[in-house]
Formats: sequence, structure tokens, C-alpha cells
Amino acid sequence: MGTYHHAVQAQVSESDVKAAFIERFTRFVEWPEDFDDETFTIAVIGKNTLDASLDNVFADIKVKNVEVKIIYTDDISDLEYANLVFIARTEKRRLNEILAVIGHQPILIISDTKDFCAMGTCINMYVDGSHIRYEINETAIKNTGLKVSSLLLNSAKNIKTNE
Amino acid sequence: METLKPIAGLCLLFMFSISITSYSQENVAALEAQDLTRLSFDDLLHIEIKAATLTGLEKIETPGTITTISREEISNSPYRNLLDLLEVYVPSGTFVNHWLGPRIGIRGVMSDQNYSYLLLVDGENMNLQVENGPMFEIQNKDLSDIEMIEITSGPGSVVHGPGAIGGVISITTKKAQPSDKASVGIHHDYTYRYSTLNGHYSLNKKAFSAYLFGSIGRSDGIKEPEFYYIDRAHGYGYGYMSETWGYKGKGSPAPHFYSDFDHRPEVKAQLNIDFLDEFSFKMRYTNFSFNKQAQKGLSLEGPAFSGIYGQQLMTVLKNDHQFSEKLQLASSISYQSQSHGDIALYQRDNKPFDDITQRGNSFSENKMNTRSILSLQPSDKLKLALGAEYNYWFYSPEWGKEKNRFVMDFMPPIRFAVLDTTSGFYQQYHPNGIVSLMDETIEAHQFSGFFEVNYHLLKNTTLLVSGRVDKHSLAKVAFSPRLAMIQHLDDNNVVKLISQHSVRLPGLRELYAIDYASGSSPAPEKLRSVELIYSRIQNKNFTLNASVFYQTVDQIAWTDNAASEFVGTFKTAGFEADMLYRINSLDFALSYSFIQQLSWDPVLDFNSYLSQIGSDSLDVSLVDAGANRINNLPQHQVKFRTSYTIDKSLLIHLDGRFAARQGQMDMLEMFKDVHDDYGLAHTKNEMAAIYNDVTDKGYGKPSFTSNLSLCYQLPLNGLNLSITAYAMNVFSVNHIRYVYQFWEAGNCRQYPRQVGFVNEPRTFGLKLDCVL
Repeated sequence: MGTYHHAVQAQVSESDVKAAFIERFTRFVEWPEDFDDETFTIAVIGKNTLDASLDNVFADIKVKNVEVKIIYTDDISDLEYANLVFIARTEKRRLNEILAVIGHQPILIISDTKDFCAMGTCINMYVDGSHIRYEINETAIKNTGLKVSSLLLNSAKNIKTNE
Repeated sequence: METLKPIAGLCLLFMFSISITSYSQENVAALEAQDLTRLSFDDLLHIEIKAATLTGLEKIETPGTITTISREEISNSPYRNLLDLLEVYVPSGTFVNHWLGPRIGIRGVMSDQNYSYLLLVDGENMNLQVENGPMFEIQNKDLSDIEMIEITSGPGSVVHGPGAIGGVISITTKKAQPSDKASVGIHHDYTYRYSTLNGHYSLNKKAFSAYLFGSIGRSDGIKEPEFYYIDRAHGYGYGYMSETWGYKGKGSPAPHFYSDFDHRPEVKAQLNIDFLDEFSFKMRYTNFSFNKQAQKGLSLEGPAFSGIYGQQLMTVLKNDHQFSEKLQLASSISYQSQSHGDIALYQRDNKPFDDITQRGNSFSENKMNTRSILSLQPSDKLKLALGAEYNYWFYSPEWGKEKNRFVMDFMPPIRFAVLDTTSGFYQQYHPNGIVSLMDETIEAHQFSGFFEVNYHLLKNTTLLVSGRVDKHSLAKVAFSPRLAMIQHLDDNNVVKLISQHSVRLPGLRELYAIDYASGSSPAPEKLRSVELIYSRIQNKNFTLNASVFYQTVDQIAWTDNAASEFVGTFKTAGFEADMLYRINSLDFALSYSFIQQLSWDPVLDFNSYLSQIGSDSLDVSLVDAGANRINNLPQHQVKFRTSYTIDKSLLIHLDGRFAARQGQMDMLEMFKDVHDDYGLAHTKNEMAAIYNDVTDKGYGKPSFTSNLSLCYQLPLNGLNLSITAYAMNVFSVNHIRYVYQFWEAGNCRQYPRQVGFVNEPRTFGLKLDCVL
């Protein structure tokens, strides 16, 4: 804040913007340990429309100075080795199972489905009018042991905590 | 065949613009999601992803030409009100002054009322249904509560209902910021002598978020502006109004330009509450007032200005419920009241200012609305939307006034409607036969249904079929269909072909009077249009839109038959193009618009006549006066705007617009030709003198004006402080604000009475905004 920004009038797809947000979230989160194999792994579970956008965004971008690997899977066990998990809305029925498998590991869990944040994902993106907004579940983040910058918290629409 | 030539020319120009952009494609990288990673976080939060269509098309696929003005652009641009922004940002947008308020013109559509345009605030129709169209919001000087303004150039009644044949101005107000935040701002314009003060507060709690906004302002206007007027209706000459010349030769300086009427402050207030994830409640109050831009009258109490004022309150409760990923229901219920007063000073005697006989209108228009839209996606290729809407209007006295203070100006045979025989208006004017005592509630209602089918026909082809049916209780059924085909040439290039019928119902003051007299129901005015749009989004740094369109309007007007009737067919064609280029800290946007009258085929006699030229009156056909140009609108407009940011703290904004071939010249030249051909020596000379005097002052000539602002962000501990200094018309040539010109029935008009204008001077102002 405090500097000028322009409303970008070039219209871009919702998927591209969400993918860009996911990349941006990684800049505001600190993982407690170094990454295995010098690779930052993003796991996407379920059918969604972000695949191509995620591939484009992370094609030439490193996260925390390490290469990024994206895996697309329907197998919950694949998530244990990820640093960031994106849960598609098709996984609503398996959400509790997915969250249980992830447990308290240092994995940033992101979604874009209503109620997912309240159910335990760390960050949930949603459409507000013609903009993308996000909400944060502070309790879920605390459980992962990740540290989130206050800058990210400040711009969250709703900061939710599970009672 | 003659009428086809301009269309062929426009098509050639359109194809040429495509060939230019195709060439440039080779030199610029294609749009990629990676571009977004270079944006600031704040930019990401503000990036737009969709436009408002029933089935949620991305904006590049929206079947229409839409200009978006963001809150940053509003903040950085010099303006007096929303209409100034419209003139800077919308390629064909402009406005003129009518003594009853400004009149909007887009794509060759302008009327003596703004009823061809729709004004929406957060999706709610804010038009005054009586006749005027948008009255509220368009003249407010404080726009700090606006997140975004979207202006649809061309018809929009398919989505928004009858009334939007010229265009739609859609305001989206701000919502609660992501975190608790407060801000204040002040704005002072030295030239127009107005000041505004605004405050905003955002509150975020676990279960809800709230946004509270309020502003107050006061305007004294430009004192005794250069208002040029021809008073040949009374035979007292022409020139700038002054202490020594004006009303009937007695001297009458012009009303202060852009001043509040009767020192009524401008007030805006809004409360938004989002709660339970899917509900929102909004309450919004705004008001306005202005002195009519007309000669100052002389009452027995001394000089008397007339004016218009109003205040409105809108409350709406909305729910967006998602049954599943592919089934959503958006519903709303709202209540709106617009209190309206028009100080006519008919009496012009020593009755008190507050006496009802000093008013031509004193009423409130109240509306209840409910609307539901069901969106579903049966398959990956098909999206559907179905909607229904109900409106009920009823009319009552101005807020806080008694029943006997009601007066409402209708067309004959009602003329002025009152509700009570104890009304002073009734007692004074009933003997003259111009007042009707209404023994039942003045009311109307409307049922509407609408649909949209979005079918992904082929891999890159989308077919959009939309329609809306409106049944107003006092009018025939209005049907607005639209067929659009959206073709993606590749990831960056889209072509859209749109064919639609758009409708406008006559205002209530006509509909109700017709029903009162005969019980009949008039048909709506119809605009048929075909538009071809090419959009190119190279990347976030370059966009281009080009549109060629053809419009036919079956015009409806009030006639001597005491009815709203079909009076003629008006055909126009036009071309618009706009591009935006952004590199590093520099933004540059350029647009061009062209409008051509193809034909005007009246079914009624629109002749006028000029008296006193010779010994007899002379019929003059006004139909023949405007061969090529559309009255009140320039045929060509070129606009640019640019901004440059230095060290992320200083922003320099410059915009300019060039207009040529003003349509107003047709009527002026017609009068001159008539005097040259038929006049006596002295009338011929005087007409020539008028012609020379106004054109010397810039009337009808190509014009240019420009606005400049400097915005500086001050880094202060814990504060985000910005200071903006601006100048409007910083460099201008022949820049005048025209008075609305209209056809006038023969009434001994020797010279063109409506040839008037105000010189809009260079303006200076300061804005200070602080986020706490």
C-alpha cells in the first residue's frame, strides 16, 4: 500500500488469477524446514480448471529459491510429500479424509470452494463481484506450523478460526 | 445505395484496424498467466475477472461495448461529477446542458430527457420513472464511494429492462476493505467554489463485515459565468447574460454555474453489511440540487432563480445461494424512494418561496422491487439463466410534506395532478383548467421475465441467446431479444457479432395521462441494432477494441394527438475504437468515435415556421436542416489519456479530447439560410451578426480541451496520505458547453432561441485523502 496501482483492465481468466494468487501466497509463508530434494512440491487433488494456469505460472518461477514440481493426483497418499496442496471442489466429500491425512504437517492447504476454509483449509479463494478475494483460517495455519506474514492476513477478507 | 456507402466505409475502416493489430501481434508476447506474477499484490486484488452477464461470461466475451472506470482512475482524474468521467473515458460519450439538467449522449442517442439511459447502483435501477431517467448520482461531486463505473455504449435493455436503448451506466460502490480501515478525504475546487468532505470505515468481524460511508459538500458555483443566450423570442438581442443584458432586456446575470440550489448541501451516505456468507444488506442515501441554467426571472421580490432538488433512499437485501457448483440462485428485495422538487416560480409574485404554487413538481416516487435469477450449468457446454422481476411504483408527497403539498406535472389532459382540494396549487390554478384532482393512488407495476442461454457451440465459438419480456400495467408488452455469437480467433483475439432489439417505454407522465384519458396502452420505442466487435488482449500491457454498429430507432414522442406515438424512423451507423498501452510506469489510452446519420423518415409534419421575416409566416422544414449530422452531438471525437508514475509516489495524469462537426450547426445554418433567402434586409443582417458572433466564440467549431492532475503519496508513519492538485481545461480551444437544442413548434421564433452555451473556464482544485 502507499503506492499507485492501476486497475488492470486487460481481462484475464479466473483460473489465471487464482494461480497467480497461489504463487503469491508462497511468498508470504515461511516453511519451518528446508525442502526435500531441493524441490518445492505442489500437489493438486481433484478435477479443477487451474491445471494449465498453474503450469504457466510456475514454469519459470522458483519458490524459496528452489525448483517447483506440480503433481496432479487423485491419491490422497501423494499429498504427504507436498509442501502446498490445492484441493479442488470435487473433493468436498473427501475433504475431512484429506485433511486428516495431512494432519499437522507443514503443508499449506489452499482451496477455492465455499465452506472449505471453515472446514479446515488454510486459505480459500473466492469470487467477489469481479475480483478474487481470499479468506484465511488462522487455526488451520497454526496447526501446520507455518508462519504467515501479517501482510497476507491484513488483506484477507475474513479471518476465520475454528472454535 | 447512398446510405450503404457510409456502412461500407465503416466496414473497410474496421477491417483496416484488424489488419493493423494483426501486424502488431507478431511483435508482442502472447497473454500468459506468468504476466500476473509480476503484478503487485494490490494489483492482483483489483484485477477484474468477469463482467455482469446473466450466465457469467468473461468480460472479453460480453456481448457489448463496455468502458470500465476504476476507482484509481476516478481518484486520479480531474472531474466535477460522473458525467465528466463519461466524457473522458467513453469513446462516444458526451453531454450538454438542458435547463432541467445535463443530458447524456452516447452513440448518437440524446433526448430532452435522459430516459434513453439507465443508471444502476450495485445492480439497482435508480432512474426516475416519471420521465427523467437518471437524475440522481450523475451530478454528485463526491465520487469517493465508487469502486467502479461500467458504461455500456449502446442498447442494454435485454439485461436491464426497458429504458436502456442508449446505454447503461452501472456504478459499483465500495465494500468493506479486507481489514478494518478508516479513511477521510477533502476536496476543494477554487473555480467552482465547492468543497466536499468524505469518510469511510470498514469493519471485519467473524460473522460479518460492514462498510460505512458518508460525505457532505457545498457548491457556490462559478459566479456569473459566461452564459451566451439569444433572446430573440422576446426580441431583445443576444450575448452573454449580464447585469445590463438578459431577461427581456432588463439585465439578468446567469445563475452561478454548478451551484447548489437554495444552498442545499450535497449529502451521500451508505451502509453495507455482508453477513452469513451469502447475504448482504445495503442502505444508500444521496441527494442533489442545482440552479436551472436559464434566465433569471424577476419577481416582485426581486431576482428569482429556479431550481431542481431531490433526495433518494435505497435499501436492498440480497442473497446469493449456491445449491451446488452448477446451480445458483441470486435474489433481492428492495425499497427505493426518490423525493423530487422543481421550483418553477410560476407565480413570480410575492408569495413565499415555500408556497406550493412556486413548484412545478413536489412528489416522491416510491418503488418496491423483487428479483430472482437462477443460474445453472447442465453440461460443460451449456449455461442457462432464468430470471423474474416485479416492480411496483406509487407516488406520494415529498418527504415530510402533507398531502395538500403534492403536485405532479403530467401531460394533458391531467396536466398538474394534486391530491387534495385544500392544496394551494389546486385553489390557485384549478380555475384555469390545468389541474386535475386525483381520487385514487397514482401507481403502476411491471412484471418481467428474462433468460439467457450460453451454448459453447464449437471449441472456440459461443452462442448467446437472451431475451427479456416486460409488461408494464400502462403499456403494451415490451420484448427485448438478443442473439450474439462470440468467436475466439485465438487466445488473444475475439470477434463478437450482436443483433438485438432494445426498447424504451414512455415515462409515467405520458403513460398515466394516456390511460387517464383513454385507457389505451402505447407501444414502446424500439431500437434495432447490429454490432460487430473485435477485441484484442495482447497481454496486460495492450488491449484494443473496435466496434462498428448500425442502429434503427422507431421513435416514440408525445404528439398533438395527446398520445405517445410513432413519429419517425431514425437510422445511424458508427464506428468506435479504443486502445490501452501500458509499459513500465506509463499508461496511454486513445479512442476514436464516429457517428453518422443515415436517414430520418418522419411520419408527422415537423415543419416549423419563422414569423416576422416578411409580412407572413414562412414554413421551414426542420427535417431538411440536418442532412448528415445528429443534433447536439459531435460527429467525430478523439480522446486520449495518459498517466506516468515516478518512484511509485508521484503520478501525473493528462487527458484530452477533440470534437469536430458539431450537429448544432445544422439548425443554426438553417436559420441563416432562411433569412438569406427570404428575410428582409435588417433581419438578414441581424441573423448574419448572430451567426458570426456565436461562431467567433467557438460555436460549432472543432474543439479541444484537456485536464491535468498531479497526485503525490506521502510516506508518513502509520498514514497513507495523498495530495492531488488538478486543473481542468488547462489547455483548450473552442471548448464550450452547449445548451440542448431541440425542435420547436412554430411559435413566432425569428431566430434560433436554443443557440446557447457556457464557456467552461480553466479550473483549479485540490484533493487530500488519508487512510488511517
